[in-house]
Amino acid sequence: MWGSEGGCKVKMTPYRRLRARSDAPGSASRGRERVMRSRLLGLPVVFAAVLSVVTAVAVPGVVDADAGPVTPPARVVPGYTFEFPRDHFAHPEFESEWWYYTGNLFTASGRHFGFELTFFRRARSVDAEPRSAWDLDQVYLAHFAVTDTDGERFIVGERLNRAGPGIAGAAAAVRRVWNGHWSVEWRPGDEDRPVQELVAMHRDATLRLVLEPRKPVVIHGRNGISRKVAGDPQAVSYYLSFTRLAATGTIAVGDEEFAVEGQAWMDHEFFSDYLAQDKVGWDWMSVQLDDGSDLMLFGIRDGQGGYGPDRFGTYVDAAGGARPIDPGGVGFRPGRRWRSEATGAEYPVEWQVTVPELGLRLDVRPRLDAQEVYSGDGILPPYWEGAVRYAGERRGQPVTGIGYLEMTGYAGRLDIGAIGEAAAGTGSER
Amino acid sequence: MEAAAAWGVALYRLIVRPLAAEPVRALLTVAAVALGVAVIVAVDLASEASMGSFRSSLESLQGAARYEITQVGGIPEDTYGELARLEPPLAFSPRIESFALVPATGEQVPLFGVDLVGDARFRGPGALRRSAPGAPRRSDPDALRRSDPDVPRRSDPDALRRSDLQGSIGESSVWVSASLGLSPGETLELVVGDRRLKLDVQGVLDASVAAGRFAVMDIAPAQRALGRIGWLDRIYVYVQDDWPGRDRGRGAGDAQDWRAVLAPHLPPAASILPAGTGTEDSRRMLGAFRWNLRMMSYATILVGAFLIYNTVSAWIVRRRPQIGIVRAVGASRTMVRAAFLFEGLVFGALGVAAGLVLGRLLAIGALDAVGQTVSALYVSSTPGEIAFRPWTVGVALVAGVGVSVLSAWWPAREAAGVTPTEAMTPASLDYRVHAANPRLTAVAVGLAALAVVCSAVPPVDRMPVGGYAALICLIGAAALISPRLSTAVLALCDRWLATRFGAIPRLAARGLAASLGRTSVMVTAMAVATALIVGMAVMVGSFRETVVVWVEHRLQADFYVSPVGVGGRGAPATMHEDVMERVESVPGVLDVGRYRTYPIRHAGLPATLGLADVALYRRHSGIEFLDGPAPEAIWPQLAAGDGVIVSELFSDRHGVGTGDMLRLPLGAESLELRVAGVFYDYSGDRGFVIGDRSALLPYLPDRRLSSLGVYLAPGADPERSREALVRALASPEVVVTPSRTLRERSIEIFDRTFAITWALEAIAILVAILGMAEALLNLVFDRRVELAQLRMQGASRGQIRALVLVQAGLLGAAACMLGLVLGVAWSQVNLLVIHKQSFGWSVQLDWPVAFLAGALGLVLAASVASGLYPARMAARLNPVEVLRSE
Repeated sequence: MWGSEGGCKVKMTPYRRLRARSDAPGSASRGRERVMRSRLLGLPVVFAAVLSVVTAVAVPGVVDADAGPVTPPARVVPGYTFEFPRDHFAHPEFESEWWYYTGNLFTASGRHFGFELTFFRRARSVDAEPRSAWDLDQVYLAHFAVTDTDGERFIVGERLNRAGPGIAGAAAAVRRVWNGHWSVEWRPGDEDRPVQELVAMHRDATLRLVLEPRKPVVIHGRNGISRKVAGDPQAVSYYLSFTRLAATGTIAVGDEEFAVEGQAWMDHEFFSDYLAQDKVGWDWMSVQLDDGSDLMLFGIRDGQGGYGPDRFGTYVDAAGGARPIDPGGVGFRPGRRWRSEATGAEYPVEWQVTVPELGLRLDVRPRLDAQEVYSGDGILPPYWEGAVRYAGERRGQPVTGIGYLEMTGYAGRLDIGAIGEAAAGTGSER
Repeated sequence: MEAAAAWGVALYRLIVRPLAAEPVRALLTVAAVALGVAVIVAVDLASEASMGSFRSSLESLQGAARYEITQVGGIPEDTYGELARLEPPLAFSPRIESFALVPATGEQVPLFGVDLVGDARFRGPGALRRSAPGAPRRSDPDALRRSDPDVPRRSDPDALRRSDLQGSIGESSVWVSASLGLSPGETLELVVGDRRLKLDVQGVLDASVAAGRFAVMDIAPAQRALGRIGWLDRIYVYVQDDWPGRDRGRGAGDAQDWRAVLAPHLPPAASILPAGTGTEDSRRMLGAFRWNLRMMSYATILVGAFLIYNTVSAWIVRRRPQIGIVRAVGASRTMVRAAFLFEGLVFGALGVAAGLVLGRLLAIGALDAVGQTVSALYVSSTPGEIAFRPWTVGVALVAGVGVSVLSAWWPAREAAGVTPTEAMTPASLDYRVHAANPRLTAVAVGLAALAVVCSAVPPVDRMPVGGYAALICLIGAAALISPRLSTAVLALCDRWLATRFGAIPRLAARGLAASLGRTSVMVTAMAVATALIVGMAVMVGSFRETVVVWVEHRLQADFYVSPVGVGGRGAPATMHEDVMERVESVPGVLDVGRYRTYPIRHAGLPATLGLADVALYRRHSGIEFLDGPAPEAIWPQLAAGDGVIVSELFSDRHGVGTGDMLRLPLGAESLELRVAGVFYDYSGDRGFVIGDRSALLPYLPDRRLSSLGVYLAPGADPERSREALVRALASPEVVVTPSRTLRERSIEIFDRTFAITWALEAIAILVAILGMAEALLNLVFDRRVELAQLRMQGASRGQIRALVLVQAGLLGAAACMLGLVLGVAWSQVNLLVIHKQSFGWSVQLDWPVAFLAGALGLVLAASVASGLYPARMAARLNPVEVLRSE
């Protein structure tokens, strides 16, 4: 069973070759005055920044230079017919897309590691002729972070590439999402629960995992679309998750390699929309409870740091059945704050969350305070993405869980200069 | 104490006093040594500077790459996508590369297309950032030396300010090396092949990051601008030696491992070579050229050696009385010998000191000449700094001092052998060289025979060692035979002059014959210098004539159409194929032949593959084959696509002849092709393989052209046709060159190539003339009693002057004769051994009679001129004083 709510049709098809590129994925220039929205508000902003700063102040340069007719990017509309495996891979006609793997891993002796491997895709408008495979119309950024809880190390790596002639991509034809030698291969076989092989490496950390879905894919929101801001019909995305993946493999940190097992989470989201500037960031959590149920929770913060009604979530029961939590039905209360030496940003690394309709109250504790992701090259504004533990009660029963917490917008909005100063090198130990 | 005093006396009486008494002669000797040393120094400095910078400019940005992947005609870009997914420690960097002409300056700079997004070496701090005007440039000096294009390292945080980072990657964005002298915001105009690009300078690459002059674009616009959509020209492979884990610690010895890892991901015909192989190839090719140049510069010091020998000998003869006195007051033989060796040492040291200074000055001119030759023959390179190295100074010392001391060795020994009593008796003033010594003649003949043997020795690492050994043997033989030959010449003159011109010439000849031991040394020196000229004249003359004939024959078309942008040998300039149609549409055009070259490597050596419309060669000839099958039998094999023709050079280098099979990489495939014929080619130092365009194009899908040959119909007016062609092409980036112009240009390049060798010869002659002047001075001094007696007997000053001048002329004539014989032998060794071994060209022998006559006349005139000063000295002698003092 695929979709969670009515109206969303899910269809299985044999694999179909996707167009490698859309003809005109849309203008990115509007991103300058509007901030893109989504569950991961800060990251699209960040990603737009990457493009405008690193690869291209060319966004205005190229697009504005020849103000020919530009086909607008595809829109997120209700009632989209998902087809798998096609929709696990790239949708180049949408401006932004990402594949987001996080998870908690344990050695046989119980040593804990957290990991994040994220592939971002960003479409740009390029109108030069003849077309080159190297055109900057599809740009891929990837992040790889490892939390070595016992070693108190947090290791970050970053890769930026254009799609190029196969350098990076997310193609159904080869069943792969990749950026150079960081990749996720989707094994053929059970399309309901496709096994994903994940490889990423950095000077200081190497990860090789096999991920087996324990539950089918979840389509968040209603009618196939995930809303981000109450009352804003444009603030939407297509949002898919494998909320519970059994992970086995190895992780190498420094000179040591460990056999690990654990639980991972995968998000895949694509959209083209923007969000007005009064939203500064969000907080997001993946929760895998020991009773077998999972939750995805997020809240969008406005300029005053409050949430308003923009608090959403999805509940996935132990059998894999998913349903959205009523808008505004999640309570977030930030607790202890941790200040990043490197960026000066203060993150509430402890939280209490409540979901009244489930009778759920959870305390959120980080595995490590210092799980702030920023790159040595300063491509991305910093955000906090780290392994956490949950403990609390559900309808009076004690419950615990593991998962990931993501916090964006705490390090200032696109303060490029500050990033430069903060930058101290990729994969640095903290 | 006594010994010290004896040393002092010996040195003073034998060396210091005589030198002080005749500074002109001392100066002449020092000058000759200095000139010889200067030539060596200049050639060494210039050839080093022309190489020092020489790192193929295409490799400016390769950083610490371990390998480079190339493929004839280009690498399909999908290959890169596959490589990019290989795990560390491997990392990759793609390149589009071409040469671009800066129309503003006429300068040629490499233009690179690189991955400005994915390659952190360009993305990283300090790499392509905009330099703030006025602010001191700060950059990460490691930026381009990193082995890892993926992950930027920890770096100076200040260097990382976003606001400092580059402008934008747009269609016309370009980054330039600081040496181009542009700043961000300026426009850079470039012509690449047949395209003119107007580019906006976005940033400047610090000189500390990458040396050289070049322009960089992002790869996508570069592919469009250079017509390379779908292709890459080169992929650099980095092995990150600091990558942790299992691969850590693998050293440089694992080269083969990585190639094996890479090979399965590459097209079968792609080549993986250690990075910098192109540079190494060029270095090797240039090695032979530089070696030859050095050898020629050593010839000058050889001429100088004869001079020093002569000087010291003359000194000794004239200082016999002093030797006697010194010996009488207690100086030992050793002391006498040491004194004269010391003198040689002083000449040498002074000569070296002056030579180093002079050489440094000459090097500026020499660098220009060497640089031109290097560019004409090999690869374009920008000359580097002229800098003294220990080696240069060492060679100068060895050459100057060593040769001086060695040259003084035999005369000094002879001086030491003089007993006090002997010295006091006014005996023979000549040395103990006996012209008629049959043993010397035998040795001379033996040496000549040895020369023949040496010339048969194959080259060592493309250096014609045997050839040069043969030359040295020849010089030795000439030196040994010289007294005998001189005697014969003088005897002949004696008889001949006496019967016709009366007493003075006859006296002159007799005088010379009497001092033959000494004069013959100078004759030899002069002869060697003359032989250099003769040898070069015959060689260059023959070569030039051969090239003229070849160019005439090769350039059969009436016009050649080519792109304005010049290509390097690693990246030939090309133009779009549609030029063909436009040319064909011009009335009066009978045929149009397309031509495209590709740089290839065969069996470890670079070569050029040319694809031509072979049918036109067949119709219009243009290619001349070495002995072998008739052209009618050759062409069909090419048209069928299973044969190629190779140049003589290629055939020589690789030992392939007509009928042999040749495996050639063509695009993604490796083809087995038959060598249908071997043709003459003098176009450069690279072997040529030519195949039929239509037959082989399927393997090399890039259809762009290097040039077009345009053949006019009989009766078509060349000038009007040219104008029509220019109109039809309608592009300032494509030029129409009449074949006459091309011919002239080829010959011009040829002549420029040999400019430096002529300069060396001229200096050798100058040295010889100095020696001649000195020898004549000695002669005048030695014969002063005789001359005084002549004056007393009524000879006028004019007659005395004439006497000396005639002697000078006679010496010159003898030197010319000997030089001619030696030179002809020399030229044969040069042509048949040295040239063939170094460059692989067969040259048809041609006698540049007029030039030779002129050159010999000049030598003769110079000899006479060298007698002017001695003649004046002789004429000024006061006979009364001379006779009284004796």
